[in-house]
Amino acid sequence: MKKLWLLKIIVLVLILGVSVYLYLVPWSEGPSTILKLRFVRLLLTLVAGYTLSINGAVLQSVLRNQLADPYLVGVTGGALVGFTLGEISGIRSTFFLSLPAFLFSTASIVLVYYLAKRGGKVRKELLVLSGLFINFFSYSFVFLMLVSKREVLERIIYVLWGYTGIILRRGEFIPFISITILLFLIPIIFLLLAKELDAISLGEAEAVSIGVDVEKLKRWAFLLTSFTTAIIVSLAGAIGFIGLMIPNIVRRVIGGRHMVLLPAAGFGGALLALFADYISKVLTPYELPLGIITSLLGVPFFIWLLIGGGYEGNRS
Amino acid sequence: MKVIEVKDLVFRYPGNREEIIKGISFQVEQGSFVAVIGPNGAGKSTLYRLILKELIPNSGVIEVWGKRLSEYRQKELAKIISALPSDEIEDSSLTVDEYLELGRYPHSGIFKSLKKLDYNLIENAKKITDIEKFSRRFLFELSKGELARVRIARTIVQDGGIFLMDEPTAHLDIDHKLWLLSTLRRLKAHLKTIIIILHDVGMAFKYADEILLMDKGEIKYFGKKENLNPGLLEEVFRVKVKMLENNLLFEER
Repeated sequence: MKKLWLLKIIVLVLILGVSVYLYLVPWSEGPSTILKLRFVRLLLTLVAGYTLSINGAVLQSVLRNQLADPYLVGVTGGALVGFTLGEISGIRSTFFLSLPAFLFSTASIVLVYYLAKRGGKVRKELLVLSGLFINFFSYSFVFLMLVSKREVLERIIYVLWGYTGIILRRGEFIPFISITILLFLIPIIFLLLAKELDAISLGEAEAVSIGVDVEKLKRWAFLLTSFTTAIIVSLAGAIGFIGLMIPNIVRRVIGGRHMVLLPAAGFGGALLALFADYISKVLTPYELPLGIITSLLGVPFFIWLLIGGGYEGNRS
Repeated sequence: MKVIEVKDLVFRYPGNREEIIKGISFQVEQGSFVAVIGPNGAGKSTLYRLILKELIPNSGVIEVWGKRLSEYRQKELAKIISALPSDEIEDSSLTVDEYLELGRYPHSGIFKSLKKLDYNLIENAKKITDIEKFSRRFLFELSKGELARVRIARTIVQDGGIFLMDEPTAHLDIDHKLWLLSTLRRLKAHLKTIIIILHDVGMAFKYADEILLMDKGEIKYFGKKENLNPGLLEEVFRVKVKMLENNLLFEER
């Protein structure tokens, strides 16, 4: 618990960030609906960053790969396909959870996992490649659907790029608040599994010898990360790289204990999303979707990690 | 007291017809020091994984303290078996101390924090393995030899009645190799049971009491090392073997 100071600093900066954001972002001519709109956008930005960053941290440990991120390993892509199918076939999402999105995101992570596993080890390059190909497939599929089904165009375009400026329909406000609270609470389950996650980050054989039921832990991790990522995709769309950047930075600064790593990654992710949203609104004359900004930031970071900026230890 | 009993154990990997373990049976008594030896592909590591429930046998039974393996939860098993896999550990940004605390995981609950007893065990294990000076470093900063000692310390922290180790000497310098084997010998005095897979046959013969010789998924010999016929070793390892008191000498054939 020595490193709690960083957590405190992150929370503090987060609060400061929210205040500055609320102060600087133009409130325009403000009837209460616009106020509500701003509030929805702020909340959505925060919860998206928080969830995706924690999911990235969990996937990196379970897959023992610092490049794992819900977007890069195809969870987001799978959810996108599911969401599009749901919208087209008219399966209404209740409480913003599109059931097909959840099913497809879970299927993607399981598929990628088995494609990348060779003789008990998850191969780094295969994991990223498999995720990449799932993403190719998802984007092609979604564009195909867009062309053939013009009616659902607008909503899906939002989702494709990670657009947090959603306009809630009548009666959607309460469900939105409920799902946001749920998303903030779900990572508590990961905190209860913090020791198990510490163990599995060392390798599966090591975790088994320490006494962790590895298969059960993986099931929980895959299900929960797919579930929450699917909700974020249904709400705000495909936002990448937050789950890649923040956990890697936080791990390097405060170490790998999930009891501290996960909360710090959560708040850090929220902060980065807020920052990206701020850039998109204030520094450009257009309201760029969040996903575009995070990709612009994330790709150089990804390359830096790939060429060895990451900790590779001095043994390999 | 029988600690581990293996009956008619058969294992093959899914989709593969060849049996890696071909119906072996043996039992290990409390307080014995067994070295498992055999050439590559003999099935030693597979046996390790079967005893740890990492793999499920196609047929046959493994009992630990008279209870079938399937009745144990993984955590309960880790409480009685201090195991060390041969797989290398991933680069990790846990510190040595944080890693050693994980050794107490099988004895802990979600809301139960570590007690004084746990920390005493950790301090003691650090002293035995001589790793105190880098206990605050990250695991990824350690050399292979240092890491090997840290992992051995973890098994001591885990404090099981059975020590099951797969090639623990692989990355150790000769002094630490000898130190580990004599330390394990001393654990016998505390009625601990040692089952250790060793590549180094000479070392196994010098330190263990019993030899379990495996070849192609079968047990060729299990019993006191004094009764082991050198001819059997010559046949399995395809070398010439001379026995000199407590030592084995090997020559090309």
